[in-house]
Amino acid sequence: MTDLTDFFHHHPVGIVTVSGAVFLLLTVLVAIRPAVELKEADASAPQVSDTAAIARGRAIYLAEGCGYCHSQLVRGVPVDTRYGRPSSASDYAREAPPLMGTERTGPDLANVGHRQPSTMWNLYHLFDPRSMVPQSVMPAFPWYFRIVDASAAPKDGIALVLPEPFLPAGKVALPKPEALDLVAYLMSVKQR
Amino acid sequence: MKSADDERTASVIYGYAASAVVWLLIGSAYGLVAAWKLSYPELLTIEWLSFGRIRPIHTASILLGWLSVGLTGMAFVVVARTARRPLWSPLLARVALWCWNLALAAGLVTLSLGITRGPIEYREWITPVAAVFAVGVLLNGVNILLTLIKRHTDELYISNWFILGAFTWLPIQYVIAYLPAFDRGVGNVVIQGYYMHVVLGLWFTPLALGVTYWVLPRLLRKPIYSYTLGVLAFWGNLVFYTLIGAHHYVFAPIPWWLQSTAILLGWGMLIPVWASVANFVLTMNHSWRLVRHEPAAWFVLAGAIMYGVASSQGTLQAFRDVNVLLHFSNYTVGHAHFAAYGFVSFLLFGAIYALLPRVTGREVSGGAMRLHFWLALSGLALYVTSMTIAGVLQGLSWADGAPFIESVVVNKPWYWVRALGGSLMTASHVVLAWNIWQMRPLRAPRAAVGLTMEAPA
Repeated sequence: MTDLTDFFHHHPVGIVTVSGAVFLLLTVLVAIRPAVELKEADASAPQVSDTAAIARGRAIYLAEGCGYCHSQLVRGVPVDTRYGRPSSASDYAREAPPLMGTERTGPDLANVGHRQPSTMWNLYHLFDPRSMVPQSVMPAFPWYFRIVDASAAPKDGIALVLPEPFLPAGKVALPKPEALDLVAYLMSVKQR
Repeated sequence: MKSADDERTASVIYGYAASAVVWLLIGSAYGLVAAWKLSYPELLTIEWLSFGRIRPIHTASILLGWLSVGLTGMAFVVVARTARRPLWSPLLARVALWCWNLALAAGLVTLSLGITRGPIEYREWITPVAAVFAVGVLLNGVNILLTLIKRHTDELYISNWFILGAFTWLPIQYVIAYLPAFDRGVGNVVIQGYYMHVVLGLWFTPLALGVTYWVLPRLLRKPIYSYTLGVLAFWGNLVFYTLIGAHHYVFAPIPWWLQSTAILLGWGMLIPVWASVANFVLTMNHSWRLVRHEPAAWFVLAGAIMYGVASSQGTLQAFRDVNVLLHFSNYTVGHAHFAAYGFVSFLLFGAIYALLPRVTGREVSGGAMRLHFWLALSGLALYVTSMTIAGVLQGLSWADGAPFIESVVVNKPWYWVRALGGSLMTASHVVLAWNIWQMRPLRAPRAAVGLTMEAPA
C-alpha cells in the first residue's frame, strides 16, 4: 500500500490512468450496464406514435422547463396513490428525455390528461394560472396568446374571456397554435 | 525574479477569478429573480425570464461558471506552486477560459430562447454548446497534467491527486451524459441520476478539496494534519461517491438493487467526507489564534463543517423512510444550496482570499472579507433553514392527503425568507467582486511576488 502510494506520488499519469480506470469500471456497473439493459427492455414496450400537435406541445413543455416543478412519476407509496397507479419503466420507453422530474413545486402530471381533460380549463390556466387557482405560484404564459378587442375575435374560434385584472376591459385572449399544442400534449399525458 | 511565464500564469489565473465572479453575479441575479417569482408570480412575466427558463441558467452559471472556472483558477495556483514552475502553457489556459466563457454565454442565450435538451439537470445545454465547454475541460486537463509531469519537485503533493482526478473524471461523465444512445427511456433516468450526482461529487468536490488541502497549510504555515487521511479521502470519494447516484430516484421504476446499493453505500460515503473534515479541522487545531485573525480561514472552517453536515444530510435523505416524506420537496433545494454553496463555494471563497493576493501581490482589507463572510453565512442560514422547514411542511401536507394547493400555500412565508436569504448572499457576491477588483494584478512587477518562489509546505 505504501509502495503504491509512493508510486502515485511520482507518477501523475499513474493517477490519471488508475483513477480513471476505477471510475470507468464503477460507471459501467451502476450507469452504463443498467441503462443498456433498460434500453433493451424498452424495445418490447408498446409503440404509440404521438400526433404532430402532441409532439410540438411536448417540445414547448421542454422549452418552458415545466418539468422542473412538475414530476411525472407516481411512486409505489401511499402518498402518491392520488396520482394514479405506480409508474412503470414502460411508461417512459418512448420518451426523450423521460420527464420523471425531481420536484413537486406544482402537482405531479403523470395523469393530468385524465385529471384535467378540459381544453378551456387548460387554456385559461396557461394564460394566467391565478385565474383558475388563486393561490397558484405558477408562471403565466401570455406569449402564447394574442390579446385583441372582443369585437375582433373570430366567431368560430376560441377566445378567453376574463375580468380585470386578468384582461383589460373589452379585450379577449386568443390562443396561438403553440398554446393549443401545449394543451394537446398535457391532455395526452396519461399513465393509467 | 519572476519569469515571463510566471507573469503570464499570474495574469491568466486572475482572468479565471474575474470570469468566475462575473458568472457568480449573473447566476445570483437569475437565482434571485427566480426566488422572488415564487413570492410574486406576476413579477417580470417576460418570455426569456420565465421561471422554467431561468432556473437552468441559474444552475449553469453557478455550477459550470462560477464554481468550475473559479476552482480551476485556484487549482492552477496550487499546481504551479506545488510543481514550483509556471503553467506548462498559460496561453492554452487562456484559450480554455475563452471556450468556457463562450459556452456559458451561448448556454445563457440558448436557454433564454427555450433551446434546451429538457429539464435534465446540469446537461440542459444543447450538444454544440456543451462541446465547446468540453474542449475547455480537456485543454485545462492536459495543461495541468503536463505541468505536473514537468514539475521541478520530486513528489506530487496530495492536492494534485484530487485535481488530476477531477480533470480525469469530468470528461468521462460529461461524454456519457451526452451520449445519444441514452436519450430515450428509463435508461436516460439512470444516466441522469448518475451524472447529476458525480458531477457534484467527482468534479466540484475533488477540486474544492484539492485546493483546500493546499490552502490550509499556506494560511496556517504548517503541514496538513494527516497526509494518510488525505489519500484515504481521495480513494474513498472515488469509490463511494460514484456508486450512489441512483439515490436521486428512490421508488422510481429503475432497478431496485441499484436504489438499495446507492442508499446503503451512502453510509460509506461518510468515511471520505469526515476524513477530510477531520483533517481540515485538526490542521486548524492549536492554530486558532491564527484562524481568528485570518478571514480566509473562516471561510475554510465554515466550508469544512458544512461539507460534513451537508454530506451526512444527503446520506440520511436517501433512506426510504425519509425519502418518501421529503423527496420532491424544497428540502432538496435547501440541501443542494447547503452543499454547493456552504461547502464548495465557501471553500472557493477561502481559496480566493488565501491565494489570489499571493499571485497578484495585492491584499484585500480584512473588513471587506469579514463583511463578505457574514453576509454570505447569514444569507445561507436563512436560505437553508427556510427551505428545510418548507420541505418538511410540504412533505407533511402530502402525507396528510390534503389538496395539493395547501402544500403551495404553507410554503409562501418561507419563500419570502428564502428570497431574503438569497438577497444577502447576492449582496455578499458584490462585496467579493469588489474585493477581486482590489486584488487585480499590479502593472509594475514586484520582486517579492512570484508564483514559484515559495517552497511548498
